[in-house]
Amino acid sequence: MKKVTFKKGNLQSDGLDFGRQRKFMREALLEVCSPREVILPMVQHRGTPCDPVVSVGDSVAIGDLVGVPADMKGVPVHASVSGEVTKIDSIRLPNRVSCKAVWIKNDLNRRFSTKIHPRTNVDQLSLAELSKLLWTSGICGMGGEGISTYSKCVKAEKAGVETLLVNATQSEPFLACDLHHLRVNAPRVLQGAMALGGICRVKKVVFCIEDLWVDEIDALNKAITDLRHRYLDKKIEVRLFKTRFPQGCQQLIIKALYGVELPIGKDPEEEVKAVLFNASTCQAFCDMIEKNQPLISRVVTISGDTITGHNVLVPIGTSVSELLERVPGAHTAQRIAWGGAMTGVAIKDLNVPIIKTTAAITIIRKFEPMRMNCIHCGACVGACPVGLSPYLLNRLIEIGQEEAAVSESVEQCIACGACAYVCPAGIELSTNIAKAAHRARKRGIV
Amino acid sequence: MKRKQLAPHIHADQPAAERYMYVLVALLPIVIGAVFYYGIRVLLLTAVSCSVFFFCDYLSSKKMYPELPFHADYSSLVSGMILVMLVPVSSAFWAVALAAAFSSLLVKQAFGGVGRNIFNPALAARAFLQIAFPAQMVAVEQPMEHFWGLRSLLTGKALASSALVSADVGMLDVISGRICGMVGTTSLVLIAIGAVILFERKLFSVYAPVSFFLVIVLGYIPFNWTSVGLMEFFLWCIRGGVLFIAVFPLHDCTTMPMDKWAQCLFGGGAGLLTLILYRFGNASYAMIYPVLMMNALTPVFDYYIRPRAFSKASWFREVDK
Repeated sequence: MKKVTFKKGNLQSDGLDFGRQRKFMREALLEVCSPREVILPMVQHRGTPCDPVVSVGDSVAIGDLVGVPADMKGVPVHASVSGEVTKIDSIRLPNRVSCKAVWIKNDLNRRFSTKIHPRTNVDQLSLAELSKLLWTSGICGMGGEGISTYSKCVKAEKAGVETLLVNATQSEPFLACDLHHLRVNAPRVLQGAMALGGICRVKKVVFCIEDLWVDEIDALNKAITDLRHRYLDKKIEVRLFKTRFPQGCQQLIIKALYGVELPIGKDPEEEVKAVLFNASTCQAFCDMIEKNQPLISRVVTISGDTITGHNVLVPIGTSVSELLERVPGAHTAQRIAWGGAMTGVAIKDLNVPIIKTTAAITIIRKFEPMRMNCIHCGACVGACPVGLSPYLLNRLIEIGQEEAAVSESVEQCIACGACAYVCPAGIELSTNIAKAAHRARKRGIV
Repeated sequence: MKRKQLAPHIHADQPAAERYMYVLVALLPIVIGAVFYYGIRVLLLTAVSCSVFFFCDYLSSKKMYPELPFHADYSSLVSGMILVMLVPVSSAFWAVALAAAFSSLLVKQAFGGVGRNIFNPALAARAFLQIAFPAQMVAVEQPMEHFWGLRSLLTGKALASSALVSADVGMLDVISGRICGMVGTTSLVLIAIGAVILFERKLFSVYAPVSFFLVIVLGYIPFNWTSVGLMEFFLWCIRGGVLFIAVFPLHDCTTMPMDKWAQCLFGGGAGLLTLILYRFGNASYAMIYPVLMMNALTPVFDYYIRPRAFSKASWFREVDK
């Protein structure tokens, strides 16, 4: 099959170890984490904040509503453990979001809400019912994007999209949570994707996966042949991508598949009539359809540069310190990143929760790049997937010429970190430029 | 000072110092070959040049940028070694030391140290020697004559004033470098080995050297259809070091444009200037100055020729009115 890809970026031959994921996915089984306490922030998505609907002292069961958004752009929050609400306070998340949060002490009974029960009429659900389920499920883009899946579906339907893309390109090294779903739950991912496709009224569903993940592609193909008869009205396709960082970014998937360059601020729904969902999102929606179970847990990859990684099924809101209790070497780590190794945020205080968009916790034990002058080698220019000149932008930002940086289209930066990864002088290009890009976009919108 | 912990948290395993180190490794066969051809004096010249370069870099960076830690990044050694490869074996120690100090202080550190220089330090030092001591910059020593050469070791004078070009230069001599010329520029085989080492470490970007080479080879006939014979031009190319200059000083990432098309123009321009200078100017500096001239144009290339950003219609910079 023809493989598609984009230009530049980091390949395995540049030293990115994509093979690690395969190794630990074969070896380690999924672990289940049962925390003593969870912290449920009211903003785990991008959109309107929720308001807590519980008060201190209330007893909640798994799946009970904890936060309800003011309008349809938000995402409801559900209790991920059963127990007692101990505290409602404000919290600051590593992604620089400050919001209210609900602390729930786990009574370890795993008491489920009465709403959660296996559904018998899965095949007879109408599109309106499915859409209502999607709204109540509290699902948002679980690849890290965080946009409410419901509002994305509504938007896609309005735009009249024809293709639904399922993003299973796990391009960041050390990450394997989406791959885990494909490997173990491929039929469920397919089912969820088909239901989402029904809501968006698409004609074609395309699975995007990288060529390195042979087992996952096999599992997916098997699921498609098994379930083909149920979805005869839609075309199902699997497209292979070359393994390359940062393929998982929305713009680069569109670039690879359609050859269209999406600038910042343009949506694929309008430009190429396609809508993109993460594989984990599809799997979570399948949970909602089959068991009426909202988004209360997600698979998080715990890995690092010197430890073997594993996938853990974590209730949303589990604090990082509790998650890392049994991980050897985590307490002497040099830094711990809330997210993947390339784009995650380093955290000092480990009492931050896993939220719906946290795909990984990365433990870094040796990281010592030397810092010197830019030697003008051009490695960053050769790595930037959106065609920027990071060395120039960084210099302009350092000397305070942000207008000049904007005229160099700094706002197109996707903050992938490919430039800083390859920089032989160890300059923190990516973070400086991503911050300037953020400011430029803000100024452009306001 | 504790550095902030910023993403990405992993890093490609090739720091800048290692890049320079591999250039040193690629230069090593050439130095060994030069010692084989021209005797132990080459080693002494290299030691003088490298140590002067290193100490000038060290002292001036300590003086000018005391807040920055000094990294032993091998770039001084690379420049010192390339300089020695570009001079005749009979050049005086003090002349080489003076050129190295000039280059380190005025060409490199005055602009901000490693990575910020406009001109290639080694070539600038060689150009300084060409202007200041042109008499010394003529290669008269035949290879394989005096390995120990104690008298020439001390005085720098050639023992036998043999003819500039021996009549009986064979093809094997040309390829292996057993002809009269600058210290390290004659042996095509050893330079090719150096290029292969760089290529194998992914440090070799072929665009500038290849276009430089192609322009010189293809432009030979239109430029020299009356005056010069093919063999003479060929020997001049080797003695002047067209391959060495293409692989090492021209292909220095600091003074070369980043974009591959810009690199093609850069190399091609240097080749064209070389041909023009050889035809209408003085052949003795027709290899050094073109590269320095193109070095001065590198910021212009970098400014106008760049990769096309997403959503931009053209790669060429729109000039603001």
